Amino acid sequence: MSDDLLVQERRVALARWADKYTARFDRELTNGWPDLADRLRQQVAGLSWYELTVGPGPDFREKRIQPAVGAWVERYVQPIVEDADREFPESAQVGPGDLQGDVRADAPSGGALYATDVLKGMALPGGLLVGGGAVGMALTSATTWLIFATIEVNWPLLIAGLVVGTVLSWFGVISLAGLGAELQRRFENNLLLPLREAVIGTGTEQGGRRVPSLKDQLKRQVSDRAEAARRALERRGGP
Amino acid sequence: MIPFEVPDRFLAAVARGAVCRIGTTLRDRATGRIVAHLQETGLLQRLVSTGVSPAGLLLSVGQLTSSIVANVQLEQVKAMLSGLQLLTGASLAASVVGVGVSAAGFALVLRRLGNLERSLACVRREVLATRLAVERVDAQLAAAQRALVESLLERAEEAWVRFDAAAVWRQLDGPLDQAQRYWRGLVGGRAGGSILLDPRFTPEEAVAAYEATLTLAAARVQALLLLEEHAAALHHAREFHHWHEEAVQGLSPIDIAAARSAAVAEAEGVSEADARSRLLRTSQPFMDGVREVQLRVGHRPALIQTLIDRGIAGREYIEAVRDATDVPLVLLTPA
Repeated sequence: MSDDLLVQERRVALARWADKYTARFDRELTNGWPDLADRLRQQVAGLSWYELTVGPGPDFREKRIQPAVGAWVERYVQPIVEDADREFPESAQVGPGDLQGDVRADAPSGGALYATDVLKGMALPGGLLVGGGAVGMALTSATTWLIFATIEVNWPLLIAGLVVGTVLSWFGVISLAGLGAELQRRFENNLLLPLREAVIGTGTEQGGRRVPSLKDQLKRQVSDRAEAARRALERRGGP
Repeated sequence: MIPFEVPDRFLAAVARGAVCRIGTTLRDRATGRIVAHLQETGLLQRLVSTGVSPAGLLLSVGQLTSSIVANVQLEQVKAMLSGLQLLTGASLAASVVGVGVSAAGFALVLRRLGNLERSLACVRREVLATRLAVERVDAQLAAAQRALVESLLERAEEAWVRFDAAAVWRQLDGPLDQAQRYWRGLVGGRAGGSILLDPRFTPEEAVAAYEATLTLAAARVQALLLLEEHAAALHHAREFHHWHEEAVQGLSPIDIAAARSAAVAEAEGVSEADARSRLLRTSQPFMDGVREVQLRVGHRPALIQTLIDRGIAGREYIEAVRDATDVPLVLLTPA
């Protein structure tokens, strides 16, 4: 049997894998967004009068926002990543060595997209400072060669940093009277809309450059992974 | 007498996991070697044809599955199709290209093309003309061409009972190829932009153009085998496979949904996000069917090569599979 036939079958298997997981990230993250918004809304609504007066301390991020976002990622993102990871080797039929140096997500503008760009892009309109600590902690090294072989962004930490940064920025300009309602309104307008774009929408803008949303980056990772495996397969000329 | 094998012989091995079906082949799971080619019979084509909506096979998968499950009385037939995972959405959608060499009669081909043409009837003429100008095919010429192909397909079916059958089938060859290339031009591909991503065409229209191309390519292979032109059938099968890969390899359900969401949102007064999400629900099973079509189109040259290697006459082969009415599939082992 010719190698061409086997190469073509692997190509189709890779395309199927990419079709399945790009569609799944798209659908499930979109469906999951209202849940993330609710989780964040609940945490902000749960701030005590003391916290509203003096500002939420580090506990707010670590004990409320971070677990809430973490639980959301665990529920909506992690299962897809794990399933994709598990199915990829069977579809690709390539070893880790075949893909080294091949995988890189490219931004739509054509330049390479690195994790730091994502973080820059996440500086939301209004020049909110995310905070060096949150940024530093938001980067982790991937431990697997599969989907996230490059440095990945720790989205729970990043979103937690953004929420805290935004909430803090509201203090000092809000009178105590009607603070709760005002906070809620600002939360909806200033944070949820741009955050939605950053997570499942059109992404964010940084220095005239478009940085794709989390959803688009995940889909891009899947497509690029499949494309890299296809190139490796064709370079090798047969399974 | 064609040395077909019956699928029952392999079903136990498939159930055990020692053999698996990939496209239209049965494979030894350990070595990847082809142990048999699957070949549809006239019975399978008839079963599939009963549940098809005018939109075609690739968009009526759910309907097709329930129709077959509900209407096929023979448990043995159902067990065979299900044992080989041929009752799934993607595999039934891919019936548009057939399993192996198409066993669809020319009359059925004509009926399918008629349905697909009707799906395209409301396409704005200038849109068609613009697109086809790029491919250097004139729409008016194509209409004349269509009439010729219809006439020839009618006569090709009739040829089974004519003494000059080969002469009629030979006349069909050129026009069938021209008609197919007309549709290929409309479908487009990597270089020209795919009709599947072109919002000027509805999804139904785009899929109709794609199905017409597949149907005509399958019919031409059948015609060439009836003429005992095995080498030409092999050449055409390979050439079509190459074109098809170029046309669909870069497509994805997400691309289709994204390319069409703005037009659907505007036409139906819904948000773009809602339109996109709805389009994704149909584009994903559609692309699953297309991936199965990729495998079947890719496996067809190997089956024709087996016919050549085993010295099997084309007409005898086609007659045998058309006339088989007790089983939906037969198998041919490689030389």
